[in-house]
Amino acid sequence: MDIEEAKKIDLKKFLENAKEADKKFHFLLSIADKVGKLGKGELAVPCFVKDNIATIEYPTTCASKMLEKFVSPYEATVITKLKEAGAWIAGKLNLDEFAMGSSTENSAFGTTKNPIDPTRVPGGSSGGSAAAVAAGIVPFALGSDTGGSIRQPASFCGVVGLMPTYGRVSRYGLVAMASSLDRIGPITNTVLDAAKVLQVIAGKDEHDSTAVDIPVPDYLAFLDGDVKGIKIGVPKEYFGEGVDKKVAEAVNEAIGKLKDAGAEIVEISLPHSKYALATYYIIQPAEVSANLSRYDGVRYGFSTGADEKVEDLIQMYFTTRARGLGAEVKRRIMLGTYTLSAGFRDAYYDRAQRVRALIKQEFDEAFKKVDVIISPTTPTIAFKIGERADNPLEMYQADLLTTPASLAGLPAISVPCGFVDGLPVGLQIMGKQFDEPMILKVADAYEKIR
Amino acid sequence: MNTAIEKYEATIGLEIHVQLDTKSKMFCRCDNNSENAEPNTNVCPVCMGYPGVLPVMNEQAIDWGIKTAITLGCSINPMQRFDRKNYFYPDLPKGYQISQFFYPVGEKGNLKVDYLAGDRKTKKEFAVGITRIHLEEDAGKLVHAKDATLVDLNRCGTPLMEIVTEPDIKSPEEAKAFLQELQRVVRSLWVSRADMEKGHLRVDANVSVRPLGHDVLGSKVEVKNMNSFRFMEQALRYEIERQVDLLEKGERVEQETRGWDEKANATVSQRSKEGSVDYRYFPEPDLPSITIGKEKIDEVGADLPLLPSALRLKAEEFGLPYARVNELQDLDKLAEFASVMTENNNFDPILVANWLPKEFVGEKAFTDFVEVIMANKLSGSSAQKLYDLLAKTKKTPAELVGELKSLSEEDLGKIVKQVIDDNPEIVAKVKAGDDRVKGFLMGQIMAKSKGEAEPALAQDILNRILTE
Repeated sequence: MDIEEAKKIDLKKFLENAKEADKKFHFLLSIADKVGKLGKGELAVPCFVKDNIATIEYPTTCASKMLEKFVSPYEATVITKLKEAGAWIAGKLNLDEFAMGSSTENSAFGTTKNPIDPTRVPGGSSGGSAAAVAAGIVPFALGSDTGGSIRQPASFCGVVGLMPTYGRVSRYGLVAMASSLDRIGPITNTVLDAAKVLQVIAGKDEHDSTAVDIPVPDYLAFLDGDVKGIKIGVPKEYFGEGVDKKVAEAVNEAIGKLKDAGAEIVEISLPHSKYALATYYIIQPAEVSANLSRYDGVRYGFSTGADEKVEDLIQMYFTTRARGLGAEVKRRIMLGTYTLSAGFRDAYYDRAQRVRALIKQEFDEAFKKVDVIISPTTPTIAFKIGERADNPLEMYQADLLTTPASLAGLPAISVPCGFVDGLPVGLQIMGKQFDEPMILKVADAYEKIR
Repeated sequence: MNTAIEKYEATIGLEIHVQLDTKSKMFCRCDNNSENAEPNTNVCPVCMGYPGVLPVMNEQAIDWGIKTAITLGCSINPMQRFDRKNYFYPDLPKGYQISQFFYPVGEKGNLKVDYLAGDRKTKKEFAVGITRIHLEEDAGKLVHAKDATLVDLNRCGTPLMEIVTEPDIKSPEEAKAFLQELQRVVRSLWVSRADMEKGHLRVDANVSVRPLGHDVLGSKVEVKNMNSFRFMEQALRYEIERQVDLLEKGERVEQETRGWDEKANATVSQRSKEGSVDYRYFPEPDLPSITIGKEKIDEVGADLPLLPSALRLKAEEFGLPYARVNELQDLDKLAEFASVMTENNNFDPILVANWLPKEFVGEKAFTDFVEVIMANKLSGSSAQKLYDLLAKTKKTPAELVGELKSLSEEDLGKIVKQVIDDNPEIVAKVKAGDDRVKGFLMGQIMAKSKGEAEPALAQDILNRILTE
């Protein structure tokens, strides 16, 4: 279902369908108790947003026991913008706790199932967002992407996922995981719809000094289906070790179609990309360790101090965080605390920042020669629920191909490009900073010739 | 407490937090003044650290940090960046404080201080190196009730400027003089109200002592909770004596943090330095770094007021004794003094200093007043009378001095004559050259005029008649 079709749907029926589908796939954490109102505007449709985006109508739980009953006193800038464009926020979507994970198995409120194959994960952390769109319930959902959390679930569920340039969309109201990496973006069924949603949510914001004051172009104007003469970089490193051969084949086939349509294919090399995953898993937990310090049981959220007898402040901190936060969240807090500690920061955090700069520099060089860079979104198709749940390192591998663009602050989109063993494969198109028009143009063209 | 203290020297460095008097808080739009607000009413999701909020820089705070750093002779860092200082405390809602660790606003400055010694005469001078000035947000406050500790977040996010000095201070007296001078500096820049009692100006000290002539500094003790100039002097004095006592007894000074206990009149151990905190500083990703170009430094540095020390020197150059300079400074009248003297360089500086602290309707009224006193050679008491008249009427000093004089000039002649007539023997003595008895005649004149006579004029008339 796309946005235009959704404008015509019966809202009562929509709510019933959503609840019915949720029983099968469990993508929802909150849903409206009655039919809401659509406004006037280009997005006058019902939609859902990931439950780490602050809303005043529903709790913002981040799929954590810590914020189970937490209702934000303010709403995110993107929510206000969606409402102004006519959208009805009809509910909140499941995710890995505080967006940490690649399968939604880290949600404190149950795992979302992949609508294509309910024995498999929908990906994560925006698994609820991808599943809700893939199940045909909403035309679009908002997700957030830190290391692949929009693109990877979009790929696993066979839908479109767009991570805008860092600074293109305000983060105000997005519950921070890793502030230098977090971005909000749409998950949709079509590239056109991704462009429509981006059009509404992009732009500067007085509440976010990292949301830059660069004019928002008319994205729809670039969706002309024409890729003649466009230079597509294909980095060989993104098709090698750790990448499923059949996935690589599907992506190569898609590249062939783009070539046939007139695009120029340029083989490039991004040798530093192989350090992206390691670099990402230093910087991201470091920022996590600070961003999650506020969940201390003093002001809001879960607290053992509220209804239990605790010895003292320290015990209240310890028990609140021990019981309120899940295993993966704690793992990252500990990793980040360690890598920022005196005597270790040089070797870990500072060094990772230098590698991050190199990765970015390498992309800048590559984009002097090509207009976009194409790769698989994920090294594999959606894996089975439980398959990687006890192996964090294997789970982190799902971010292998998405973390480079995250670290470099670049925009990237995942579009479906066929199936392997009956499960969707995603094609990742990365672009220059703020060159969303180009990645949308190529993605849209591919969608039309697919 | 002991005489051994003379065998030792103290080394003191200060860490001063200055609350910036900006309109709004540092990273949100809350009012920066919570003075009369109920607890937790002057807050918003940003300063309360709610999930998903982001800080937005108050540029005024940056400008004022630069302004102060320039004034204190610091070099300004061309990149202004903020960092996260991580620690858990109930008054710190985000679990980290946004501060400047790697790139402070300014570094390597210097403040020269001159002050009036305890004898109220001697001018003493010393200089203190400024290690760094950095900006940060304040935390909230804990309020300890009978069976609970409560948190008030009103102060959260108030901009602070932390000024760290080199250990260049040698005595509690110097520490006080330095801090008072710093208070005057930030007040003259209008960046802080710097009221110690209200916590706008907070000071911690690092104190060590060593035997005179030793190169190596003794163990450093951090002294906190000095909420007034007086407490600071008392605490430092106590701490120096305590450390000297320990060394005299052959004991070690523990490196620790101690707090001034005003009831016990002593510094009391708070925590040992052994388990010092690792703040895990890293750059604040939510705030882009700001590049400070030369134009910005020039812009902020333009139009800086005269430093208090320069003002004092100027006043001295106008001929005012140093003690009187300090007196005017304490009354916050020194800038006005310099301005009046610059405009009217014929004015008597003492006369100006005497009358400046009184109330006048505008500077013109004051300068008219001084001009009339000087032109008419009015005595202190006549000047006081003129001042009293001014308050009652709408006339100018020049108009009023006529009334003052007509009241006395003609009648004064009569009174002088009368006194001369009444005291022929004394007059004879004076005429014979005994000037000492002239004072008796003056006394008679003043008494007869009920104090209304202008002494200089009376003296003139008396001399004229006596020499006729």
